[in-house]
Amino acid sequence: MFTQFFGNYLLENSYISIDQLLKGLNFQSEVKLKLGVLAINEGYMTSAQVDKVHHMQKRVDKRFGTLAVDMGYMEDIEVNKLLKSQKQGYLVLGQALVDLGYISMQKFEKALDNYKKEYKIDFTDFTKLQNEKMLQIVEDFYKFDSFDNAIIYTKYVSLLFRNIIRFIGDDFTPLRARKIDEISASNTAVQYISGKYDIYTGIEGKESVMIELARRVDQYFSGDFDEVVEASVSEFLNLCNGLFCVNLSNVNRVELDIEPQEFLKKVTFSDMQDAFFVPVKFTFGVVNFLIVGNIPTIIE
Amino acid sequence: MIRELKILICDDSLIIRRTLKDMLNEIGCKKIYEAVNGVDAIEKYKEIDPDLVFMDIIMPEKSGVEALIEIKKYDENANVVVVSSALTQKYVKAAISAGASEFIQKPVSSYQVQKIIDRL
Repeated sequence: MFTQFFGNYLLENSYISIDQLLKGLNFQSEVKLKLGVLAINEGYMTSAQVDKVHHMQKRVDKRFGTLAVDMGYMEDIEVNKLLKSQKQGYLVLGQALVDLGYISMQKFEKALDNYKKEYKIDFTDFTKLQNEKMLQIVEDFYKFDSFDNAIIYTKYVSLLFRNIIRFIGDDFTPLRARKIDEISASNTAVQYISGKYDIYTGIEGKESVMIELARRVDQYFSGDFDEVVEASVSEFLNLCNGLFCVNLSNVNRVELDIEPQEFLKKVTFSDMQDAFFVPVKFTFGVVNFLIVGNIPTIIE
Repeated sequence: MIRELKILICDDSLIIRRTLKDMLNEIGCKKIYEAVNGVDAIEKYKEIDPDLVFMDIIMPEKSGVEALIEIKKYDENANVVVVSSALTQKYVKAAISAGASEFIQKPVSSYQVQKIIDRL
């Protein structure tokens, strides 16, 4: 997740353009040395075993190394050795941008150094950063601090990004959020969470973007905009919100209720309190996440 | 034996119904029925008398927990596995009180589904 925020930092500080960043994010997969590839390279696993672990990863919320150990393909000590040799995400992005000729390695290192100073990151390894630090970075980036539910919005967005990386992909950069009172939207999956905190949530985008989002959620989907797209995007929202509520229940002992998700076409949301439009620029287009402190008035 | 199992999938999301159906088909289950909310689930249960139900919690019309309570009143031996993205302590406690036999946190894996079927 640091990679995506760091990507935005490169963008906002004019190190690279948005097109270059998106191409770099896309190119990461060419550069990235995945744990499975490293395991094959070291002779710890066969490619068939790696495929089995990848298949299982789509269903089970566990990292590659953990699953490989669970499934009896590797020992803990071997996984640790591989992890040490695996490049970190932000370095992979840096390498991709350098390989594409968009930035020099020297300039990239300077940008990284400045980013760490600005966000008070004093670790040499970003992956060792704890959830708390990640929350701080999300809070500093979005500045939801002007109202009561700020901490919940920050937690919500932090978890949302984790789920985007897990279920959609890492080829995106967050853009600055906009505070809104009213908004017209063409295609929006919505769901209301209530209890100690009330949050009305949504995912909005153009048809073409929704189709690609659905394809990422449901790998077997291919087709035009239809009820499968609506159901896929809605289910992704439901999944994110469910996992958010589970997290609050387990970690903070806060129990929330969730209403069934819905998909709305061509509506205007108004009478909104503490409402934010959170745009995320993927390589396939912009997806807007909607976070509101009350149930808006919806005009069709 | 597996071919003959009658399984009812109740979820308002067609994506989840299709995913579960595909997983069950792969295991060899052929008699699969679908319900789109709690009200539909109760009706289909009475009509089909399934061996196993996969039940979502958050649904329109009637929630999975409400449907589970009614199904258990109708058939105390009903075997209902709750499948939800929101397995919070509150929802799990409510589902246990209502008589859920097992739980699956979404996203559903074929491994979890296989284990449930193996235990039947």
